[in-house]
Amino acid sequence: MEIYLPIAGLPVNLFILMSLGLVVGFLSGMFGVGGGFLMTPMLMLLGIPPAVAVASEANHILAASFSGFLAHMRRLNVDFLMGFILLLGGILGSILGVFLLKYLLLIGQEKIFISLSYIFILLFVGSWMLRESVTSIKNINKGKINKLHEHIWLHGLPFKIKFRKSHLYISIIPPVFIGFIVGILSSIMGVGGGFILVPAMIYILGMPTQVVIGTSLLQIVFVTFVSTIMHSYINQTVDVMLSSLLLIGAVIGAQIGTRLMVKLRGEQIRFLLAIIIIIVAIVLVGEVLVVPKEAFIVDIIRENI
Amino acid sequence: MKSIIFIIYIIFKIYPSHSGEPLLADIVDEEINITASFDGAKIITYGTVDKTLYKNSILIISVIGPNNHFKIRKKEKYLGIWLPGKEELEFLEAPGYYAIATNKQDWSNLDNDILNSLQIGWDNLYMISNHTDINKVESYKNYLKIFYKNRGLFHSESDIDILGDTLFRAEFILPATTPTGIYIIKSFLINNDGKLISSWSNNVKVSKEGVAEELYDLSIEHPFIYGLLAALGAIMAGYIGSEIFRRL
Repeated sequence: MEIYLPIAGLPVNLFILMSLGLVVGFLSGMFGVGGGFLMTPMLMLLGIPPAVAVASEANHILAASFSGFLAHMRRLNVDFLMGFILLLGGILGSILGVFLLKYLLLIGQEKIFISLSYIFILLFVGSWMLRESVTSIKNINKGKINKLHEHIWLHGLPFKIKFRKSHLYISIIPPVFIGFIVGILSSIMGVGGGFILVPAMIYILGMPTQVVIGTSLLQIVFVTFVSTIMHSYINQTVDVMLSSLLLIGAVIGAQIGTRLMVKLRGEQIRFLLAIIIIIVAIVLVGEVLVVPKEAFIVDIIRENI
Repeated sequence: MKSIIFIIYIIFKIYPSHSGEPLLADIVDEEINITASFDGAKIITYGTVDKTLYKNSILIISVIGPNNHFKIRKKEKYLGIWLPGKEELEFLEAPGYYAIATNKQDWSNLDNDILNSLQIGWDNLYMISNHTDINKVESYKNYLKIFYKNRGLFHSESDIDILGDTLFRAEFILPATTPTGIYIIKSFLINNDGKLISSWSNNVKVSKEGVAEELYDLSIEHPFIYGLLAALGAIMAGYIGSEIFRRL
């Protein structure tokens, strides 16, 4: 069954959309990542205009991450102070990102820009995950190595604040900066940014792992909230039909994913996920390099004159 | 069964008013609605031609979609990557859909002047561009044609079905991505000497309807409210999702 997406202006097969939501939701339940970095390029491969894919995916992630955030808040795994400091940069970054996308739409280079950003990020995340999973498959019997919090020069910058929940006394400049970068990425790529925030909070800020996921979700909720409104307001690219259909599949998928996570070996599935990510990246590389079927681009500037 | 009803319908609708007009045409559905389950539609036109004129003339029907403002850019290769380049041309007004059907495929032998004045065939379609260089305009017009062909927005192979000696019927397929607006269906009866005997014009209105239209209109007319509702809706959905999780 085909369903017409009013903002994207084209029909998409309902079954494909729901299964896409299901699979990505499954992965996000399994790995605690939002899955936007996988969903947006898939939507682009389905023929949805990149700017609409990015904006609608931000809206989809908002719903998915809010539900995750509530679960973590109940377990008191959220450092609100750190979350709000991250947000200072995050909201600024996401507003800047929306205007950057507006500019790219204006000069008509948004597609290639979004594609190249994805190729770069997917290859980076994919190879990092591949290396990490191979190492942990090898080290599986040696037990976990707990990394202690190390004090690096970044923490010595001015404007130091005490973060009780995270047991930290560090400068607010690194978290504001990290939030800012993730905010931009969220707006121009339609990702929550969890896959960057989580490692950055652990390795750069030195936060304890148990509060990292909940705190990063707090940041993602606010940033995608702002970018959903801004994308709608500035670019009119949020397709709620698309985002809500993705959501239905995603809620069910996340549930299955969370339950299976207990039964399956994480590093083996991380290995598979890394392979999937690298394949998506290679397909995108192909799209950019292969001689195009049409040697031109047609943009509709105004309809119905 | 359907076609019998159809013929009866035509006879009743047209014959009483058939008062010596050489050509009459009408449309089955004058309004096409793009709803949430829209996956394309058909414009069906039918009519009558004077029996005595029919053998010595050509019947041509063209469908011209609503005008859009287009910007076409050539792709160029930078460092091995294909990018939209600097060379471009704009069509300030160009039809967003074009289809043509005929009962005789040799219409292209007709005099160019008449084809031009009646806008028959893609090459004779009236488009306003921002360039004066005719060769450049022609080549970009051709790009637009390839673009339409690949998306089902251009059809030139359609035939007009003839029922009996005087009734005709033609179908034009609109793809799911067809633009909204007024489509003009023009029927021409041209004799073998290349003179226009008669012409007829009908309109079809294609518009978004229901949820699809309401969402689209809201997103354009009240973008901030639309965004706020989208964001709050997502929060609600997330909350419901988390409640379901907790209980299961």
